[in-house]
Amino acid sequence: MIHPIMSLPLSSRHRVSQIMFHPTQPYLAVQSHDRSVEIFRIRTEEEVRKKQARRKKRSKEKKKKTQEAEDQVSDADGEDEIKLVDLFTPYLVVRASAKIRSFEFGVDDKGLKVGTQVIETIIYSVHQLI
Amino acid sequence: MSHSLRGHRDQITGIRFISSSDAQPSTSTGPNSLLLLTSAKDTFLKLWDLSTQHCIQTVVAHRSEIWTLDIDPEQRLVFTGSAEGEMKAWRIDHGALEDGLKETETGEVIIHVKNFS
Repeated sequence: MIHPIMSLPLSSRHRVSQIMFHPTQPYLAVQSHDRSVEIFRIRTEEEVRKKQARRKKRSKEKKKKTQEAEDQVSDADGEDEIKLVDLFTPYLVVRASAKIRSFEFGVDDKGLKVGTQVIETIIYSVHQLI
Repeated sequence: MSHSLRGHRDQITGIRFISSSDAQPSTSTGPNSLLLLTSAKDTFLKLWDLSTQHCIQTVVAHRSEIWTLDIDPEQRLVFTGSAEGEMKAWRIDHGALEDGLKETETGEVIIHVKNFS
């Protein structure tokens, strides 16, 4: 069975032409019918929880400073729900000089290849996509 | 030998295989089921059981044509992209697939997805 989770925001408002998961690295590429390919980095749940814990700790510390030391009911032991939008974090947007018709992840994890309407193949080296 | 899977009403824009390997080795003795997920310009996502060639689920995924579909390498998530610039994420429930869907009289389960955030 397929169940809906949610809609994810994109940097472009154009038609979504191609969505592709990187086969081995935690990245998702989304090509829009304009001049861009947006890349999301896929975080691990552990990474998201750590960030949530840090954020909670920081806000608790801020509260201590600004308020009287009231008895704050501590957070429920249950962790915050991890949303898909937390796991898929915008990483970068590749913009080309013309409309992008197709793209592919490079072999041996070297970069992202993009084919534009001007019949050029441009190789974008995506930093750390190695 | 080729088969036709009929159901979509417009051009098919994405096809992915889903293998539902048995999560509970003690219960099933049958082979791993092979499924097919398709997206089309008719706005539907369809899930097909290749052993019976039946469509076992249809989802009205977007308000406009679905242009693209991909599944994550671990086969837990589906992402679809539409003509209106929408991108949606879906969960693959292998457990339900294992138990065997109870087909309706028409032979398929239809989910109409309205707005969800």
